[in-house]
Amino acid sequence: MAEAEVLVQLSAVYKRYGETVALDGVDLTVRQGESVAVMGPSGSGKSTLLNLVAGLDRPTSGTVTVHGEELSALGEGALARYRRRRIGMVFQFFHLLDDLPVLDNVMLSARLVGTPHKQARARALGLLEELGIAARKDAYPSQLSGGERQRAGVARALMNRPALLLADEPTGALDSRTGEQVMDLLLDLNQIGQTLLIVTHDQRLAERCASRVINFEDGKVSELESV
Amino acid sequence: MGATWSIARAAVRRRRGQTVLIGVIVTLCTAALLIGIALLAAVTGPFDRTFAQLHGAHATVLYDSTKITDDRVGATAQADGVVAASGPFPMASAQLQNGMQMGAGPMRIAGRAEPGGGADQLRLTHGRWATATGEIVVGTHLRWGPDPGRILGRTYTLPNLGTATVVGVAYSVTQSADAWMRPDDVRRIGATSTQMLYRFAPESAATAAHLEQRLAAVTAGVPTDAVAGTGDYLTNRERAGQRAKTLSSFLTVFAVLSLIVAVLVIGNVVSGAVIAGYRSIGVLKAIGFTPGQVTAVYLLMMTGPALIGCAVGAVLGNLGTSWLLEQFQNNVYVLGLDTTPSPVLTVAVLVAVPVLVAVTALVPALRAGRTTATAALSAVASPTGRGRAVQRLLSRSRLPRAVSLGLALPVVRPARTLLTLLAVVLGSATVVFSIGLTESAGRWNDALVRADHVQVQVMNPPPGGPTEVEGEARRQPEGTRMTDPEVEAFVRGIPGARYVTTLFYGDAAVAGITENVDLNAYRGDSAQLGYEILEGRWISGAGEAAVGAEVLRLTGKSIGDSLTLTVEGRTVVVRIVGEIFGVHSEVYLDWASVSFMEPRMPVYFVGLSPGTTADRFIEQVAGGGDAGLIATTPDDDEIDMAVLLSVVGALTAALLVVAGLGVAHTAVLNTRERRRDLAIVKSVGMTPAQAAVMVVTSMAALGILGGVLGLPGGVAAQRQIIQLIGEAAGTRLPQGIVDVYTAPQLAVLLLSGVLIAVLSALLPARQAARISTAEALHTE
Ligand SMILES: Nc1ncnc2c1ncn2[C@@H]1O[C@H](COP(=O)(O)OP(=O)(O)OP(=O)(O)O)[C@@H](O)[C@H]1O
Ligand SMILES: [Mg+2]
Repeated sequence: MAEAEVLVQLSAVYKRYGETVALDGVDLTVRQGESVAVMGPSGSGKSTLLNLVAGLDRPTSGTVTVHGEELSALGEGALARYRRRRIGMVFQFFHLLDDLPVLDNVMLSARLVGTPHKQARARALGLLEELGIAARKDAYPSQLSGGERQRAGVARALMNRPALLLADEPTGALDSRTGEQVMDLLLDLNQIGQTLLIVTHDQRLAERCASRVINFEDGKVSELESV
Repeated sequence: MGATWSIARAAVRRRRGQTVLIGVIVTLCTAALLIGIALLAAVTGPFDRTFAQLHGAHATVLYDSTKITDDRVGATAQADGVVAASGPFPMASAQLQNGMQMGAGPMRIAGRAEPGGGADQLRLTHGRWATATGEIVVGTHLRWGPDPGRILGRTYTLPNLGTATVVGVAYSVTQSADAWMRPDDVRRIGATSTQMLYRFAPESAATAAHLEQRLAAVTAGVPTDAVAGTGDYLTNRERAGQRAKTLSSFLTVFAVLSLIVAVLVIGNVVSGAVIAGYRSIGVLKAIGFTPGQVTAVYLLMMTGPALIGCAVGAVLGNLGTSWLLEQFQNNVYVLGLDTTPSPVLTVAVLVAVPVLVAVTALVPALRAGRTTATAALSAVASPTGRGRAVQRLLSRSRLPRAVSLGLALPVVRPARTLLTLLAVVLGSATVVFSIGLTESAGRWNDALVRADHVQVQVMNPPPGGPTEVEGEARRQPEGTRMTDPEVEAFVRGIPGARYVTTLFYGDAAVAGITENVDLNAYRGDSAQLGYEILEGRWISGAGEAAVGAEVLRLTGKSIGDSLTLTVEGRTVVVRIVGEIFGVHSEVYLDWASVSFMEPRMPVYFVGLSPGTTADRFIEQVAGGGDAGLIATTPDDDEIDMAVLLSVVGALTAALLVVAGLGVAHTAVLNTRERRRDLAIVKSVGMTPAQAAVMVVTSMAALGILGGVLGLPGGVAAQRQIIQLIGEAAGTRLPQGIVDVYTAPQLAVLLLSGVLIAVLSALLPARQAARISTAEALHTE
């Protein structure tokens, strides 16, 4: 396989919370078009890793470079703009805004980058259609099932065509059937070139979707395992 | 901006309860703010303001019209130092008969073609100006009661003119005349003097000495015997100042306290709402909102409803202000307030309140902006260490589980609890203060009017006078006059008279006092009259005197000393036995001490036996003969209680609602934040009723604590202010007026505070009871 462009580059990243060492010298590279699954026991630092890549948190030392931008060099405003344009995030607990109906939740990211309303609406409706929840576009999050919520979450994450999709246990709150659907969704996305970085406990998800699985233990990458 | 805006709008729409709450609180606060400030402005230095507005006359000169021509009088306007002048106006003195003026002598009627002019412009408060023959405008300072408009259309008889119809009521800042008519009418009545009103440069007319100089300049070229009298504005200014001081000291304290409560509640509600939306902050940041945008979302969310509330409040406030100012205008007759609310003030409040809301929201909104997404996302409302400790402690107590959990609720968010508590404390203090002060004012009024003691007074006026008398007063037809003993026997003979005490007015010269003092000599049981004694006792017979504070001050005497009076040329020596509250240079004696005195116009005070009403008694007097006797109830608004009561009542009500809403909001937030916990405890078996009890308990605890802490402050403020008012009025106060609170009364106040807290918590409690376990756990 020809070496694709490097999208995410972590070098000697440490992250401490007081006494706790969440990440203990992590080096990691994710290339364009890859689908990387991060696995490991609870508390091994997977979510921390994702938060650093998303620019939601800053490393204690080391550098995180995404799309050629070193995140530690960015201020809060620039980080926010980086998040809007470059990445999409999918959470275990969906984190939709309760006050907005599904369609508005999805369109929100587009409005942030200034996409004209009509265009944003068309794209959002298209995504919802593809994800099979177009009929629920006017419902509020509290009126949706878990699977529907997660699909809305994925739609929101894809809205601005992010270079990188981050997902933290996207199937963790779903039953196995619904989880499978979300899994297929992610797989399809990867097929059409979407770079994925997925944290999961789910061996099946990792095996089916990932081109590469990284195992975490005590804040370190323990072994590389290519699929 | 688009994304920020849509989020804020959605939050406002979806959290309808919170939005409405903020709107209502801001509405009430804005209205109260406007009313409070407008009233304060109205009673702070009102005289000077009105004097400037109406181009008040610094001096008045009455010229003898038989000695000087109008042209010559008019020419004095050119004198050195005169800035503007009005006149010459013909002046007549005539008895315009009506109940209020009864016995007070003739009225000064000025002939003015129009209310305007260079000096002493008149403000028409009711009706219109007198433009045709037989029309008359009367002065507000004659005190027409709460509704002066009702005297419009009334007719009176005037000498040489026939009838005069009242077409207007007007305010003159210096009370330059009691009534106004067309100049020709006044000449026909028989004008004997000519009035000229002068305005000087303010700095050249500041003191009595200045004014003397100015008047000398004005009358320099006028024959000395042509000047019939002079007057200046200083006396009116002093009277207005006294009254305003009393009202403003009270209103200031009240307004300041209410303001603080309003600010606290707004601050608490706004910051609470921001904290409640804490989790969304994380989501917003994760999808790329900048810190500035997050802050903006929260600011917008708060200021939107606040702007609407502010606008509604401004409308309500202006309506309330003009109503109250009108009440003041009609009751506090010496102030002559402009009753149109100030647009400048309205605009200022319309700007200040949203700014206040924005600033209050800014602190938590900035914090929201700074919060890291990861922290916000993982934030679960979990009890702090302190909360846990208290919960453990309480759960070991023997209280029912729901109650102990409820008591622990406020501890979870100490800052919010503290702010709410502070609002409750101040609210309770303000209510205690205003109730106490109103009670004090009421007792003060009672002490002056002695309404419990004297229910009816009967007078035997000289022939003539009004056939139609004011208000509750009634008059017998005029036929055969009665002598003093006959009147007393007649009044005693009417069923229901418990006692009849007759008062004879007179005056006496006292060594050390330049002006004669008023003498009140009582025949009959005067102890029944209920005068409030500051020191000593009431008179018990001949040779004793009770006096006002002024008499003691001016003569340097004290209780027990003897006082020498000169009455109608004879010397009377009496011993001072008591000091009376609420009177100035007056001396009270038993009739036996001065029985040689000419019995001028006695007044018969009647105390009624239980079961007899004043109205009935008055009717019986009026229908019982044809001696022209007048029966009436004593004048009962010595210190404008109605206005004070309405102001205090309205503002207290607004304050209570605001405080209640503040408590309700805290309860709503606490419940919403603890939704999951509530659902969990319910899933392990807590009943809906227990959940409700838990929420109510938490707020009742706040109510009790706040009430208890607020009481002493309110009592202290009341004591301080009533003393100040006493000082302003120049009198010491009897303990009965200062000590107005009783233990049961305070207990009731406290209970009502708790009741308000509980009532405010009921709605959120119902919500807590209704939380469906499945749904709450499903949402997150
Ligand atoms: N905000 C924080 N403050 C303190 N410690 C933290 C914080 N976030 C994470 N940690 C600690 O860092 C370590 C790694 O946490 P992280 O959430 O990355 O683990 P994880 O691999 O995602 O676990 P899980 O599979 O349970 O989600 C843990 O020991 C955790 O307690
Ligand atoms: Mg995790």
